[in-house]
Amino acid sequence: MCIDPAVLAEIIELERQTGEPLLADVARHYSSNGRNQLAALRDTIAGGSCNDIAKTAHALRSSSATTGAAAVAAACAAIEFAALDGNIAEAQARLPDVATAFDAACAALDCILKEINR
Amino acid sequence: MNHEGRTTPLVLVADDDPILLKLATSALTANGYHVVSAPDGRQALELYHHIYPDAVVVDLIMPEMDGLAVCRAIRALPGGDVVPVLMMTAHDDRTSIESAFAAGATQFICKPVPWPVLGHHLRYMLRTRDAFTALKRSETENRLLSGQLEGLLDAVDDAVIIHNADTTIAWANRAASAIFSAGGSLRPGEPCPLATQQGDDCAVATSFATGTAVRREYTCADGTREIRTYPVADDTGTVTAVIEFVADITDKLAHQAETIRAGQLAALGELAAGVAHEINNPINGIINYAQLLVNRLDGNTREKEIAARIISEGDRVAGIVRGLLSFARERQEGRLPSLLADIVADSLALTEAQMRKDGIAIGIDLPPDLPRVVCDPQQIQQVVLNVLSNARYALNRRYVAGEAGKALAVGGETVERGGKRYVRLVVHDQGTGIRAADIDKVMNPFFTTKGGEGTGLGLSISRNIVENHGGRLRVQSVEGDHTRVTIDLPAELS
Repeated sequence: MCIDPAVLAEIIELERQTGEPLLADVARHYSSNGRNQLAALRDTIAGGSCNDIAKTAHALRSSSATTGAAAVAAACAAIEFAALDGNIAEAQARLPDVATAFDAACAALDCILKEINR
Repeated sequence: MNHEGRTTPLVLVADDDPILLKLATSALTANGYHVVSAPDGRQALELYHHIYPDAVVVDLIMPEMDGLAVCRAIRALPGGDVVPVLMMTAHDDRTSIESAFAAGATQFICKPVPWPVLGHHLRYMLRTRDAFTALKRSETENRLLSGQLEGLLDAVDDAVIIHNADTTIAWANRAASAIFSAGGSLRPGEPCPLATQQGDDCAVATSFATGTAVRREYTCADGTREIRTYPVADDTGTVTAVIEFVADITDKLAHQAETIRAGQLAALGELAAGVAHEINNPINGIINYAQLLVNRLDGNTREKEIAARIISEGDRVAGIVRGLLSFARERQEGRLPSLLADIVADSLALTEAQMRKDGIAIGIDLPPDLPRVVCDPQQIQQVVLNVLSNARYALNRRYVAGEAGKALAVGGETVERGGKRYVRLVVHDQGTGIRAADIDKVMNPFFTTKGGEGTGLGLSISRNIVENHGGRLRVQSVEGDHTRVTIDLPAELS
């Protein structure tokens, strides 16, 4: 599964406690904001500094971890560490992994939301 | 500074991820916290200054100012050292964790954050903060209380020393330092100098060994001290400390001795009064009969001369009896206007015979116009007798009977001091004198230059009597030459 079930369970538990539609908010926000973060990552790898690449990768890594998109978080971590090591080529090579994992995570979140709304 | 009295804890959450801020706010609100959020470190710190949160949850990596800088800034603020700071991050490597704690983080948590337990994390940290704050407050109060107690004990004249189980000093008051450390201070951990003075019979050691209170007296160069020690035991009965009180009881003992002496004198006086009364009647008869003989005998016959001598000796006996009666008379509460010449005459009547036997020449020079003094005549007579007795002792040690120079002079004059008139009595003897090293001690209780023959109380008591009359007693001496005792008593106001 593209979304960590443990993280998902904790968000659902929190939703139960608060009565707020948290999961839907998280999914919608991640899909839209995550896509912006991915675009920004792509741009910085194309022409930014190693430090900028590491920061941008870390931001997407952090929101992915919070959302439970573990594969995206892992791919972003690889880019972050490569950038911190000054290895832009490695960062560039890992970018497709991030995009693929991100699309899969968004699709999974979409399915979950549809299931919940049914 | 925290806002004490706030019923709901206020938490400041800082993260650049809006999803995290929303989830953290929901999780903490559901657990009963008020939450204020900030999208970066700089804004978080600005908010901190306004709201003084009870706890801070901060992301490690943020734009503008990262979590480490925020944490350091909070720790540097007044009261910021006790605010719990929970640091969150997607980094779970050892370096990041160590950096967080080095910056002052209270706790560290990795993303994804386990939302249901975030509230418990904060509750635990706040409880720890409260316990720590209470401990600090208690420590401050204890320090204050301890300071007040030390202040109270420092105000006491007696020495107070608290001893550790190894009998070293745990604490000593100012008086203890003044007495036992020659103006320095007795420091914690040092051995107690008093224990050394007491040797094997140390009261503190005994209290530690027996667990009982101990009372001791010991005599040192400055006088006599009373030591009282009290053991302090823990719950198991083990003596963990001993409190020692040391009081100078030299004056108290002197007063006790004076009371005993006064009692003995009273008993002796009663006896003497009885004897004197019995002698008085027959001696008057003897004098009268002798006078009859003198009246009947003509010319300068041997018989007439003997009768005259009987009268003269009878008068002397009558004088001695008068002196005894005067000294033995019951003590009067009030003071009477008295002539020092009368008191001296009564005193000499009691000592003249001994002086004559010892071959001491007595010269009296008391002007008849000396003002009267308001005094207790018996007490002043006690002073004069004591001074005459000391002079006789010193003369007998220096001369054999009848030797030239074995002389005693009693004089009197009126002097003015500080705008007041005094009647001065001077007793000057040419005896052994007093060593220069001893002259300042002669009026200390129990100090004597007479070895086993003296109590060391005579001059001490005499000085007390004279000072109680508003007067002054001084002793001047040159060893091997003379001693001069001056007694000034306030003259009766005319």
